[in-house]
Amino acid sequence: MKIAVAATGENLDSGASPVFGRCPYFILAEVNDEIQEIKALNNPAMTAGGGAGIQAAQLLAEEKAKVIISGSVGPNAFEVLRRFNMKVYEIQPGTVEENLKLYKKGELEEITVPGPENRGRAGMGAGRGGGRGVGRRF
Amino acid sequence: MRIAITGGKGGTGKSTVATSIAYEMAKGHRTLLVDCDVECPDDHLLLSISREKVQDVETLLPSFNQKTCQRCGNCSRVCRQNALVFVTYEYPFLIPEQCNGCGACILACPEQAITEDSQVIGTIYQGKLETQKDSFEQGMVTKRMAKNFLLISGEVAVGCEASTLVVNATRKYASQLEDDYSLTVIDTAAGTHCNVIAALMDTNLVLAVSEPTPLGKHDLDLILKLLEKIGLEARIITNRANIGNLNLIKALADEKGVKIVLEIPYKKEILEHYSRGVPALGDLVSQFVVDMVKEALLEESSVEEEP
Repeated sequence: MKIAVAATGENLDSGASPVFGRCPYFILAEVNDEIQEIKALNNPAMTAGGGAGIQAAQLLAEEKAKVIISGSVGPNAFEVLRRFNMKVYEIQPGTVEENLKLYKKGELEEITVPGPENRGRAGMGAGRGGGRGVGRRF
Repeated sequence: MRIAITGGKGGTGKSTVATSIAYEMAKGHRTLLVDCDVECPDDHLLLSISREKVQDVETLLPSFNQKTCQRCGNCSRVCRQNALVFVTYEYPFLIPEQCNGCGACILACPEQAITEDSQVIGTIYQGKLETQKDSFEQGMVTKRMAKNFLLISGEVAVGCEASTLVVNATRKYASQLEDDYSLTVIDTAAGTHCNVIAALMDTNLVLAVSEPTPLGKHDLDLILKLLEKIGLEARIITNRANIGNLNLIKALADEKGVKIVLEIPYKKEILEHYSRGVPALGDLVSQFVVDMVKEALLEESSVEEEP
């Protein structure tokens, strides 16, 4: 099974990233009896003006990942992942490899509702955005 | 003539100032108040106005014909909003809330499989000052004032991100009425993003409302830089001027060469008005408004007289 982990670096030892749409890399791994790294994907959505989560989800769908290990995923990206039957599991602090091991042991929790929008976007206007209720469309 | 009320930081009193100025102006001038804080317009609340809807704001929405779509992905690649998802061998699909209606996908489709549809992204309301409103004291709003004053209020649909398009539509709607009014007061949102810029464009004077706190100073600096870039004339109003450190704002004003034209104190009376839904500043702004309007109208007429 192909699994993508949001990461801050380019390999299994890299830190897992709690940010989905704007994380610098996704580590793609084949997880069966063993954990095997396939490749590190540069995330082009990291610098997207808007819709970063959508773009990142599209990239992972193109790579045919079936499971994503990441932090909160916004409503739009969640919709894309849902359409391609991809599941999201909540990332734990640590490395990419540690998260893959936790997933294998069944110790990661599946995320079934989208998180707040625009969490990773820099330079939001004062006082608005972020922090809205779970499950809201935006 | 158009005056915009902005400030950078949220919660400094932009709407309080805008509604009070428009209210005072309406005593002697035909005044249009345009609430361009479309993500949470509240000028009508501050003036106890019941708004009525005048029109929807619509934008282009691409519609896909899967019979002719060859799944090339061109539409997705040209979408700067990342509103169109395309994965190889699959049909593209749209996240409507992310679409800003630019129409690039329609131009990029080699099969003409995308056609123009529309979606509602907001609403424009208008409302009048009411002479018989419980929150106002008897006779506070005269018939003349009620006749002089009109509120135009834009509101973006819940969940829609295209607030700038709604600001533009609100401004456009208001501009069709402006011939009948001598003054337009535009209330902007907080921040320095496109939705604020759209509200500021083509105005004659901008009042930046700030507060004497480090954050107030920081965001005032940002908005003054923006105004300088657009080439708009700015003045500063400080709210809650008697608490915090006014020197922060004074130093910035000196550095930028922008005048502080009004200092509003932190006062119980203002809060009482505010909570009742009547213009909060009353006499505090009246003289200032009269002077400013006189000065501005004079300047305007002198410009017109030039050959």
